[in-house]
Order: sequence, then C-alpha cells, then structure tokens
Amino acid sequence: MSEKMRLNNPHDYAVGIVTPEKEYGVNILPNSFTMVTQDEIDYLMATSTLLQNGVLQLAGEKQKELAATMGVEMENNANFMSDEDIKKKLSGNANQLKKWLSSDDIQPYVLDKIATIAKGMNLSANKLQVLREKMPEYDFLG
Amino acid sequence: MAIQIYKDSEIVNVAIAEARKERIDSNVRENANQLIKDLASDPNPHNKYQIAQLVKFAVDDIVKRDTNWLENLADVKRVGFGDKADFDVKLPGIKAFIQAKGATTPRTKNARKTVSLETLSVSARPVINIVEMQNGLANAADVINDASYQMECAMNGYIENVLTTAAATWSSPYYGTGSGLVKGTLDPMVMHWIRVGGGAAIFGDIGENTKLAALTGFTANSTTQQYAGDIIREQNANAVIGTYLSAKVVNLMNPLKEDGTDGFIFDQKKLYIVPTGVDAGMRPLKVVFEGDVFSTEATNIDDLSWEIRLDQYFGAAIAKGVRPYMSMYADSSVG
Repeated sequence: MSEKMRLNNPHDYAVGIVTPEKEYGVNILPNSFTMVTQDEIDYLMATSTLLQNGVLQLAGEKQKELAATMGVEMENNANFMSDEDIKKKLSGNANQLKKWLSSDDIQPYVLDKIATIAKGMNLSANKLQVLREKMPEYDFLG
Repeated sequence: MAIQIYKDSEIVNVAIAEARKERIDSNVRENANQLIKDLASDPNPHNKYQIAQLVKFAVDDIVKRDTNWLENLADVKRVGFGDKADFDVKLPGIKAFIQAKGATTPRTKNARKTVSLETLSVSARPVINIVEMQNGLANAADVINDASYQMECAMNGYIENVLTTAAATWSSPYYGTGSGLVKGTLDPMVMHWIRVGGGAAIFGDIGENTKLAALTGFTANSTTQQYAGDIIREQNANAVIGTYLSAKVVNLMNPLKEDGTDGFIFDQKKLYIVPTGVDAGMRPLKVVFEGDVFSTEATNIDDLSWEIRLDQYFGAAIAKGVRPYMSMYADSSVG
C-alpha cells in the first residue's frame, strides 16, 4: 500500500475532493487536512486545478516536489506564499511589485490577503498606485 | 403631420415583437413597415430623431425585461437620472444578555450603514445605413435586437465579475470549492440557507446544474449507488432536476461572449446559493440602474453614415454587513 501524505486546506472555506479511493468525496474543513496517496495526488492534478492554484497544498518538501512536477515556481507565486513572504514582496520596490502582481493566475482570496496586509503597512504612493491598478475594488486608504 | 413616437406607441411594441421573433399580425406589420419607410425615406433631423427614439424605447424595454432575473440574485434598485441609490447594510445590532438580577444591561442599538453606488455606462453605438432603413421593420428590429443583446451581455459580464471576485474571498459556508461537485462540501452550504433563510434557490449554468442529479443517490440496502426513478426521468427530460435538497434549481441563461472566443458570459463552473426567505435588501450583490436607456444620434458628414448611441447607466458592487446572505460554490474540476 502506498504511503499516505497530508493534504492541507489552509483556507477559511471548505474544499471537497473526489478521487477513485474517495468515491463519494471528502470534505476538507477550513484549516484542516485529509490523508491521500500519491495516486490520489496524480488524479487530482489531472482532474482539477486545486493543486495548481495552491488551494490544496502538501506539507514541506513534498509540496516543493509537487510544485516542480506541476511546473509551478513557488518562490514567486503569490498563491503559495505565507503572510511573511507577501510582506517581503510588498516591501520591495514598485517595479518589482508590479512584476510580481502581473500574473493573471493570482486567486481572488490571495489578492484579498495581499490587500489586507498592504493596508497594515505604510506603503509609498507609487506602490499604492500599483496595488490600485491590480485591485481597483479595494480602498487602500480606508 | 410629423410622426411622433412615444414609449407606448404601437410601433414600439411591434418593433419589440419583431426583435424577439414573436408573431405579429400581418396588417400590423405592414403598417409598421410603412411607418419606418416613411420616416427613413425623408431623413430630415426630425425623422431620424424619431427612428432613434423607436430604437431607444425598444432597447430599453428589452433590457429591462431581460435583466429582471437579477432580482432573484441581487438587491436591485432603479432610480432616476442624477439620483443616487442608497443601500442599507445591516451591522451587528441589538443584543440580549443573561446576567444577574439588577445588573446593568449594556446598551446596544440597531445598527446599519448606508452604501451609495457609483454608476458606469454600458453603451452601444450602432452605425446604420439610412437607405437600408427604408426596407422597414426588419432592419430596425436587427439593430434593436443586436444592441440590446450586447448591452445585456456587457452588464451581466460586469456583474458576474464583481460577484465572483468578492465571493472567492468569503469563508465557509459562504464559499466552497471542490474537484467537481462534492456533496460533503455543497450540502452544508445549501442546508445553511434552508435553515437560516427558510428555503434556498440554486442558480447556475446548465452544465453545473446537471451534475446535481448525481448527488441525489443513496446506498441503502445496497453496495452500489441507487437513484430514484423520478430523478432519472427528470434528468433525462430536462437535463436538470427541479429541486435539490428542497432548494429550487434555476438555470442561468448563459449567452456566448462576442469576443471571437467560444467563452460564455457566466462562469460555467459556479453555483450561487441564495436564501429565498430573507429580504432582498439583505443580499450582498447590489445593482443599480440609473434612468432608462437613452439615445443620441448623429450623421457622419464624411461617409454619410448615421449613428445611434445608446447608453444605460448602471452600477454593481458587493456590500455585506454581518454576513453575505448568499453562497458561491466553485467547481475546480478540469473540463
């Protein structure tokens, strides 16, 4: 029997998965996890975007291996970043920030997280302008 | 005597019927044809203005009727030109406390905030050959049909974008996702609104709604999934089941985008779960229509083409107080 690993849902919403081994589906509660095999990971990669978009993540080194398999560069991908990493990106210069935010794949909840962190920082006017261009619906001065 | 077209003129209703490919009595159609021919054959400023009025009134009527569905999903207000729509959003308010006899009860008050929505313009600017307009009703109906369809598509696309961008930041049970429709994730979201709102309705593209039938199976006294006969019959007949967990299932009309792709206006992988028993004012999606569709017309002196510009001012935003009072399920499966 193949080794099982922890598939984490680091979000405040529930995520459901269906695999050949979990025929009727499993509901992964917010900020919780379920155990899956490598076959299930392969199945999820082939049938959904949950792993590619960072909605579900493996722990530690396993996640790095998975990202490499999927061709995802985790270091620069906002969908996989911790709050600390996002803070570091926001502390960089405006051009770097613009380049980092230029990806269309950033998930709405990640943009929301970026906006929340940005509001708590004292950012320069040109960085706020970059954020406003990416997220016009957010009020960064409020 | 100069022809005057009003909002309730018969020609407006006939043009709407023609644009919608409805049946029209032959002599009524003949009279309408003659009227448009008369106007187009003498393209003086008054007559061109009257044709523009005809197009405007018809487009306004069609856009109003075709955006009525929004009232099931959103808090919709229609205001006059220059007016602002204020939406009341309820905040945590009056509370009751269990406490010792004679203790001082903390003061709480019924709290709400008022949100005012800015409006944008959805605009179409068809160029018309005034000579072709002399062919009568068919050409006018084409312009009306195309302009109203494009304006509706633009508005619906904008509204959907506002809704999905905001909803994906909500937490359980207001947002959920899965590799397909996962019963264990979807059911608590539907059940939440049945419990809180006295009932619920599920809105979605037919492609997503059709997957609901597969979630109705059960395995009692059997190792294989079993389905009720009427569910199978209903699914075969309509491609969707009418109710799921007592929630009414509603197919959203999902027109093709006119951007050269085969994309659709609404995301085919989203389900919106709306409580039916709560006041429409509680819904987080706020939509405002400012005034009616209005028209401006001009003749281009360079190529003698004639243009009608049609505008509808509208706005959409998400404003939630204590909770969003609707849920969104995003199907993250591929294909």
